[in-house]
Amino acid sequence: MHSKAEVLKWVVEILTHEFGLDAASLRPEARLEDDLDLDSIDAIDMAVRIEEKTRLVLSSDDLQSIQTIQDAVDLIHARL
Amino acid sequence: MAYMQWVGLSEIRVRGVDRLSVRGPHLLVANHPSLLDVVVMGSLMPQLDCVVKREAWSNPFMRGVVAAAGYIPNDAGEQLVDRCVERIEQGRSLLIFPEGTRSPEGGLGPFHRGAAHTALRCGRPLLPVSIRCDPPTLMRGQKWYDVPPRRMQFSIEVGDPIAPPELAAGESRGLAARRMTAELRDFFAKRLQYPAV
Repeated sequence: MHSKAEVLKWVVEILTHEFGLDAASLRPEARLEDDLDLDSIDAIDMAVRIEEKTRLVLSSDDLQSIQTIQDAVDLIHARL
Repeated sequence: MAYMQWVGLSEIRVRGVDRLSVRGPHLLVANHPSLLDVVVMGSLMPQLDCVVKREAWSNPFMRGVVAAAGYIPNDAGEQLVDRCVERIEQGRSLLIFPEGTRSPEGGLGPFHRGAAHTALRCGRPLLPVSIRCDPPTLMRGQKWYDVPPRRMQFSIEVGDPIAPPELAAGESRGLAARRMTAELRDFFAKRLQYPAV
């Protein structure tokens, strides 16, 4: 069973690798669009990387529900 | 536009138009100071598709024109890029305004990355087109009935193509699109002499 801390680490790694974001700025409450300047294409790319890492399948509704880093962590952790 | 020029309401000056003569299709990106930008560019390139704000389809003055012209609404995301790539692959030149809306007065808005994503997917360069309108006409915040005090002069400059970057080993398309968009915005800021943000 993976902890939320571990899932958070995965999400942060994906965001830094995919989008060149500074890990220090990636607080759990950071909003993907407003704070981190992710757009809808980035959301798809993020979802692909999450799926590759976790073997989960994320729907478009799942993606729309993810507004913050914490939302992503919570959703992934609940599904694992 | 030809009528407006003929009766002396407007004048268009173009530099770098020879770059439009190179075999296309062309993927053009432009700043967006005026509502007339699309009309001006269309007068230079009669076959030119364009990405326009989704709201245009709800605007009673514009919806007939944008629908008849087959323009692409700027709905978010991968679907927009798909549509843009499809038009280029059909051999049609395409104009994208990376700001997604008219520029703020005296500056540039933030740039969306759709144009860069399209260039990366197509493997085609972006052709930057800087547009100036003097005096400012139909700019953001101006009323449509604000008649300019003198003849409108549009200065269009077609710049050197900006090639999509080679992806470095392990570089994601998200990073490559950011890199290309930053280069594009820097080009416009320097060419238009706006302060870099």
